[in-house]
Amino acid sequence: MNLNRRDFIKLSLATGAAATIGVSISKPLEGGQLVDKWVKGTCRFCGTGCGVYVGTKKNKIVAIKGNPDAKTNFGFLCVKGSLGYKSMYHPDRLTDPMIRQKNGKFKKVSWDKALKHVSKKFKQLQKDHGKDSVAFYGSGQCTTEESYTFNKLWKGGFGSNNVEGNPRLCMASAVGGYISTFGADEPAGSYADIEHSRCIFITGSNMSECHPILFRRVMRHKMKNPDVKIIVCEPRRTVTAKIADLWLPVDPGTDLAVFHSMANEIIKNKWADSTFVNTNTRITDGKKTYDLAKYAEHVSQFTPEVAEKLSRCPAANIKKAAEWFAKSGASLSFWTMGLNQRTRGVWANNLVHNLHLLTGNIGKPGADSFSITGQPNACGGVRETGSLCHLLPGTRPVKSKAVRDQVEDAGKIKRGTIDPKPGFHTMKMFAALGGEKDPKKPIKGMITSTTNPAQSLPNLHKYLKGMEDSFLVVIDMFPTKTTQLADVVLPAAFIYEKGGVYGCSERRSQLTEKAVEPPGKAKADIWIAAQLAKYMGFSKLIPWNMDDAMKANEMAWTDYITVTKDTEHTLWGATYDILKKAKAGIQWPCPYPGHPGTYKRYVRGMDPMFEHPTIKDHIPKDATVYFYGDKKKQGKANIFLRPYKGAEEEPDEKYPFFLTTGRVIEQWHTGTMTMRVPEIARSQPNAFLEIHPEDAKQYGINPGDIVEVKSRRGASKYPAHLVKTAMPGILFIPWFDQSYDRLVNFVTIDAFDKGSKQPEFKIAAVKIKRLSGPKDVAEKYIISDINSKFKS
Amino acid sequence: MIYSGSIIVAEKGLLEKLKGIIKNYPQIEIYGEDKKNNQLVITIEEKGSRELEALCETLKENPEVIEISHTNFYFGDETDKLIAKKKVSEKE
Repeated sequence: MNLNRRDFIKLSLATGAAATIGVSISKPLEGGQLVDKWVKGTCRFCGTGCGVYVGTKKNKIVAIKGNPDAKTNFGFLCVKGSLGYKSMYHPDRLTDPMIRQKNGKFKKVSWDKALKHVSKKFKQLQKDHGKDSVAFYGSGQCTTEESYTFNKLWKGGFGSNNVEGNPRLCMASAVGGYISTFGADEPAGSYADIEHSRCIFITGSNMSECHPILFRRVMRHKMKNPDVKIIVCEPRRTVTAKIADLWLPVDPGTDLAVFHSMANEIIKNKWADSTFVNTNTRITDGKKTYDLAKYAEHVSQFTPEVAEKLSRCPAANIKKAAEWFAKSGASLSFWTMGLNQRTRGVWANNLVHNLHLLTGNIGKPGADSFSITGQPNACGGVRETGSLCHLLPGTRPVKSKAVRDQVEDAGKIKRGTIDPKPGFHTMKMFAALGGEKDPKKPIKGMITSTTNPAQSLPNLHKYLKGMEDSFLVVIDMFPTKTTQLADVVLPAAFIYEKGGVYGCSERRSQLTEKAVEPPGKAKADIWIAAQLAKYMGFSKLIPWNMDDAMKANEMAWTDYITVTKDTEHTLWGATYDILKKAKAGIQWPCPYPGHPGTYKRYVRGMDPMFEHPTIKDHIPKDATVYFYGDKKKQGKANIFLRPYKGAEEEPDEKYPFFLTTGRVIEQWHTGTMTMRVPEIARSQPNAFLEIHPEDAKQYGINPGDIVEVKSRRGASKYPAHLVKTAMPGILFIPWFDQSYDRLVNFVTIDAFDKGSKQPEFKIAAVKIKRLSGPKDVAEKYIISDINSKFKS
Repeated sequence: MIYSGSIIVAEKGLLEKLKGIIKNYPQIEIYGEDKKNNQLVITIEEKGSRELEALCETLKENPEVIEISHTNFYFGDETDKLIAKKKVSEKE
């Protein structure tokens, strides 16, 4: 067949698409190569963990295709995931280490000079102000090997637990919910439960925009099985809510009443699975234990009518939701930040778990209580490696001497090095960050990796001075709001320029191979971490400081799976060689090489931990479901009696609106990558204010008018979008926009959940004022000049 | 130019009608079909991603179309353009 280039490209793509659905095509492809090679990897633009192959030609990425063998996406891709890679070739890529000079401008320096400068300063700060005076702030976008390396350097090298990461801002409440209810973090089930479910309850999640490939699976399941019920509980009538059989509209922060009310309906109508409740659960308020009658009494105060008054959710919808959830035979819940980013985030998680435990909707195909993560490696990188101030690898508490001893021995760290006292959580860490001469600020230096706190922290005004006054080192690919405050900037490699492991929402670890070289002098974060360790005298602890990124990754991974070998999170069977060959990654627990990984935990016959020497003796021989993380060693999960409490800040006469924040489908987080993809930037060039037409009318606001949104903490201004997606009284603003005037985190609140320490990004009380008629703000704003000022 | 390999799902019994509709779009070429599941294997060729997405939105407005999903993309021309732009920017 004689094909021109264009036809060849199309035929190659058609062949790939046909393979995804298992059909043959009319004009089979013969010979020739669209790309030099296809390299296996994972998408990095949400927490779904879509398997991809990137096509390279002459050390450039020129194509991407879904991995048809992947158990997450089965070969399908979304817009953000398929185009985000183009940001790799943007002219703003940082390619040299830089140190800020006395005149305020950055100067390009060699790596040796940059690393000497950083290590000398860190040593001086630690000498003058103590080991805890220098902090690490990482990300759910670092690879597992990178998070593990920084965590080991800080906790096992410096003896400091001042290690945090941005997952504190997105999923700490989910961790708190899983640990307090089940005794162990992360979901019991998998995405594969979608295709077995009979009722899907999506709450606090705009899945259609934030996890489009998972949403596609939900939609297809519904299309094939029209009797499957979809319930969406969410303040905004998003596209996710539009496909639902039932929408439960709620005011932000009031869904606790709805969940309690659903439990009340379930018990009142005798839909509870009393056998499951008696065998596998404990009813508790966290102190005492109670019987089901006491729980029934507790939730009886939340009749659907009372819940309607609290939440504005129609009582009839609550009744119907409870019935569908309880009687479906297999109910599956999904949620994201709408539940987690709250001062009552852990409670909200507990109450969803309650519904599953009450109805026995866990531990069987199609039934699970599943928190979806927002970032590609928040689970694998930060939660599982224990890269938070109170944790050690395996999501285990730093307070436990037995855990510290095991981590020190397995990680070849001198006994007694790891501090038993937890460090500062994210909000406390940034509140404690400041200049050397400020006695009220105990943290004097910080290194950040793959995150942008100067845009993403709530109540931003409060934390900017600390970042500016301290010695701040930023590892990133592009200039950001945070580099504008930095003293040193280190250029980072993109995932396909370095490789590494990401662990997605369903406990699945997938290896990405290095495909191309990074530009200029940009380096993998693991190289930067290991070099910093070397310059600070810890090369014996972290010997993987070679230039070969994949070799370093393998050494770090092997160290990590050795330290966590006998934990519930074990990936001992997922060696690097095995991960390289695995087409779809591996789900932990995976206790030995050759084990296929685990689809469902806590169920005999599915979960290998039932046979693991560290656990099997505790599990009764006749137990089919057993929650072995239970701290009381009874194998039970907790049904919690939690009180009802609304948001920290609710609308009042002065600030009459709820403000909620979130993502849009095109943009990722603070927009530093996606705003550099021209097509994405064109389709979402600026943040906006969504307001209900009734509210807009009251304030004389027309479409496109510029509106100031003001809270007790700060203000920002946006063009108005008049939409009926939210109920009157609720405003929405996406948070990707980097423009100073549109930084929504000047407005958000930094109050946080007492248990998880996760701030309440989702709810603030605000007032609005029309400033002017329409103005063109579609400026696709990005920070290109590394020397630009924060207020630019 | 950007090219995608995609799957388009038709309503039951409307696959042939959909094929007729697609003939009106020169940017789309049909390469195969799965009659059992009412699916077509297609490629889309567009100036850029935005135009590609707009085309998909237009197609979805047809009642015959249930869904359009993409499985792979080729954007080598765009990569070359971006790199060329970067080189100009570095010289400046």
